[in-house]
Amino acid sequence: MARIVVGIADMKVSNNPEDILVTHALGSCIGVAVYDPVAKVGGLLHFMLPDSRVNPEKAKQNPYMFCDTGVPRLFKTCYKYGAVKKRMIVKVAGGAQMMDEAGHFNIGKRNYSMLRKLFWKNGVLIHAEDVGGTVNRTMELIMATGEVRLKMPGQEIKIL
Amino acid sequence: MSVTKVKFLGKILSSIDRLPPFPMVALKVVQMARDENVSMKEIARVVELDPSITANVLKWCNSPYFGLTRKITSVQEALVYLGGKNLIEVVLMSSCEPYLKGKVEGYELDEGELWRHSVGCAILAQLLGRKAGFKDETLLFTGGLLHDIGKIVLAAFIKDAYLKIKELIAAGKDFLEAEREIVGIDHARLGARIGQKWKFPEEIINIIAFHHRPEMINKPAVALVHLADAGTLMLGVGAGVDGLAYRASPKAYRMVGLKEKDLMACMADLWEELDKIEEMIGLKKAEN
Repeated sequence: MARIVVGIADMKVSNNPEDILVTHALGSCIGVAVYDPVAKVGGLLHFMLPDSRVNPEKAKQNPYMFCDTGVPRLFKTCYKYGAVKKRMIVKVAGGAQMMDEAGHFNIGKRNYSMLRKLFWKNGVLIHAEDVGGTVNRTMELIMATGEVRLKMPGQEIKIL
Repeated sequence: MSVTKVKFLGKILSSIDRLPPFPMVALKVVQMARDENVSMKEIARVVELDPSITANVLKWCNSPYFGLTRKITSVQEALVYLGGKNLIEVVLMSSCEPYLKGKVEGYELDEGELWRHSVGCAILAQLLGRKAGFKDETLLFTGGLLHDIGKIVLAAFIKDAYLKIKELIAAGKDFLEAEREIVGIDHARLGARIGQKWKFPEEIINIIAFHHRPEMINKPAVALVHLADAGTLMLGVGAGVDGLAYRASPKAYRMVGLKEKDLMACMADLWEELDKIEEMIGLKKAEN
């Protein structure tokens, strides 16, 4: 069994049922796990920021940093391994927020709305999600089953 | 204040006295770096007086991060090849590392996590400072490295209070208020007490004391470290049980003339810098 770590602004795709894809400490960042149960292909993306226009140079260097450039790559890479869009199960976690009523530290919320917009435009449904709040989340995708697990500090493991 | 809190506070303050003293050499370097009349050569001579800092400087200077083709064997050489700014930063990281790199149990931070957070915040503060046209980069770097120093002492006292803290946060308090409510002091104020004991310059003590409440002091350096801390927490770099449960201050942007999109642009830049520096200081997480 291999634990494959997905870093900040990173993505990993697998078709090996022995793999577990894991990403640590999603703060305002968002983790997107996709899984095709028939092809047994899945991927995990950990993006940082909503919109590549704030730093196009970095987006070119690492498209996984941004929602608008990272999410399409996640899907396309899974298709290459034989995944089919309509079978794909999509789960989302992260997007936590600092405490700020005025809304100037809203990166978590912006990340989430950008993702919703992108999914809506492309007809993708979110099957399960755990977003917002002020907690850090660690997210795992178990390739054998497609199960997604979340771990928060001081809490039991949650199956998404 | 309740009797338990007073008892706690006495214990907390006496445990500050048990902390090993901050390296004299590093303190001297911070003061010298901020004095225009002091040359970098003189600074390098002071660094050489501390053998363990010197050993670390040489180890890190020879790491792939700086990509030097020849081996550096003295601090004077390091100064020539890396320049003053890099040398000062390496000295500062080397001096702070022993305090910050361990596991911080009460905050559920694994070994190296608080250190990563501190280094990340120091770099992001500088990136934001450059955008805002703030000149004193050494102050931002030092303040960024040390802003959470109070956590290393407070951790032992909040360890058993997590459930109570969770309740307070659910009731709308932030983590800082919860710390105060439970043990009578928060990690920012406690950190400032440590800074006073270590005889840090006032500007650095201000950063530590007000990094969660920059509007109470209205200094650009404090505002920049506040924004950098928020950015680093949002990236999940070294955020523990406290997570993002801190109030963020929109006024901090106004104090330095920046906007949220500037913070986002700098966070994107931080990603690459942090990756490189983590490699240099041996913080790369094992891929498992």
